[in-house]
Amino acid sequence: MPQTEIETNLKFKTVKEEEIPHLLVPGEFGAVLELIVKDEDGKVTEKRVMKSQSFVKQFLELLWIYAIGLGEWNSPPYQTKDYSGQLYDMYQCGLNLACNGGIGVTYQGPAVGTGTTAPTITDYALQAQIAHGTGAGQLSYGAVAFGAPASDTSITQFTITRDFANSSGGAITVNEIGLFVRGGNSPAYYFLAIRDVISGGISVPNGQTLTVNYREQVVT
Amino acid sequence: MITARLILERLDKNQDLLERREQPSRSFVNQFMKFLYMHHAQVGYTITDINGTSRSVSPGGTGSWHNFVPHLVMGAPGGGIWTPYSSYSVNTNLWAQMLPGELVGIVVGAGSTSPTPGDYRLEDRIPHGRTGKSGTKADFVNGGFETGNLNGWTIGTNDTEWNPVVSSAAWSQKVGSYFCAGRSTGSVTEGSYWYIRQDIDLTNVTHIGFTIGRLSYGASVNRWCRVYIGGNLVYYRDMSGSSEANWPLILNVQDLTGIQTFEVRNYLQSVGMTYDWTGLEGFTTYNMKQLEYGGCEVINQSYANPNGQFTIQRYFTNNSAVPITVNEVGLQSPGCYPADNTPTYAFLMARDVVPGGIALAASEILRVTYVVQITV
Repeated sequence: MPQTEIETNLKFKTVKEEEIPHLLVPGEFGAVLELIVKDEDGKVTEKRVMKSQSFVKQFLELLWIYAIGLGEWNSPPYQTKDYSGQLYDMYQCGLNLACNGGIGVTYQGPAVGTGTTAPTITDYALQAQIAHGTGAGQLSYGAVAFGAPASDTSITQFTITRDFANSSGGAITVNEIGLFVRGGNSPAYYFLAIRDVISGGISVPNGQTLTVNYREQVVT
Repeated sequence: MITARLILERLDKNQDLLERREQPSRSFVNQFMKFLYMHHAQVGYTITDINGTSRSVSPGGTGSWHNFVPHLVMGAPGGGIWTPYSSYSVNTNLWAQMLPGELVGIVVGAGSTSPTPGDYRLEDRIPHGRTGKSGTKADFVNGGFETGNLNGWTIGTNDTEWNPVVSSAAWSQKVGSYFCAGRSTGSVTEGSYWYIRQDIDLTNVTHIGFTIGRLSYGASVNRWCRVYIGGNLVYYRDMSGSSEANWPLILNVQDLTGIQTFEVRNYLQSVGMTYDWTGLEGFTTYNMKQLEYGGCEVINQSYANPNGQFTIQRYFTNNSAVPITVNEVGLQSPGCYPADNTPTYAFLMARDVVPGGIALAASEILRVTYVVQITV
């Protein structure tokens, strides 16, 4: 019998209840966005915690596809717009919403960009996504890590984490953050699920690392 | 941000609106987040089902297992229709991968305790169906045999070697200290039976529940059980075999009224050993008020910046002939471990309490609508 596929490069950590930030109100399902910049010694040079504003259309579409149980051979199929702006047939699949991208995988998991335009519900890509690499204007995308679900008396949350290391030789200002998720089995496509613009941006000096934590949470 | 609005509309039998309530849904619960996490991270996870049992579930496996994983499904057929929720095609476990429509999608209940993130089921889910009686139900005397004897029951046998006794032996279905056992004390002839019976007023009783069991004592011995109410055979079970097997039963007695004689009669093929062969446990009555669950639809996906939404909707019809008050509403979805081809279970995704409840008179209809919405 075939074995369950489990990524080998995932990291997990436990989030203590006292570390759960309460930024949402009862009835909301959303995300708290935490941005941490660290220098080469691991010292925190900047930290921001804010309410993520912007699940976009593709997230609700993939959730709807789960909810309706849309099969691969349903006709007509449901089409969802991937990060390139191309529409693809989507169906119910256990890989939908996967955001466990590995090192350098820029369209699965948290991603960063320099765009400053306010999000709209129809956004399907970051305005100006920063590429993976060590060249000028590039950041090195780490593997996505996850914090398992944790609860206090009113909130349940889990964390999606990714490091972006700056070895470009100069400072880079990140103005937008996104979360890309997978859709479909074979072939696979990738969709923007969340897009947030960071007021004033956050600077990542050369030699420093930006850690993005999306804490998806629900408040009862 | 994702929110949900909960709309409750009470309709008469012609579907004319009698009452409308709208409230923000407060309460996606832990299981919803755990399924979401599981699919984000692509790892298996242990999640509590609606019966309070921890179940291993996974987002899928390699190959075709990914192509249908029934997690987060909220569309369902009518309450009594069983549907397979499986990533597999037809296989030997298909039956185990089926759930009735009443366990998937929108569900309603009578519980009024405020929701918490840890809720894994409705407090008091109203089942699918059309039973319900007014007034206080009668119950069995000594239905669990916890007096340590058969007080309250009339017993009899056609073979003095095959008798009902109260036993404290090990049995997985035993609740408390005792259960009723059929014990052979010598050489039993084929067709021997014993019975226990009790007169009970069924005027306000809709269901009778109890468990019969084949205790595990090695040899394969033919045995069978018959249940009579008012002298009429209402249930038959062939219990032949060797290993332990149990049959929890809930018999619908909605149409019966007045004092009736309830009798369980256990038969045994020839056997000569002294053991507890058959178990009976937990005789109890219910006044189960039910609503007929229609199909649960997932409809009306629409987007207009800054909002996007879709709708989940279900009709509940009160054909029970008695008033029923709905105090809680929930969303349930299937979950499974596809690559292992294991059974599918139901999980609670959201639970809301309706302040003051919404009372449905006989023949009235409740339309429940969740509008799931994102706002940028």
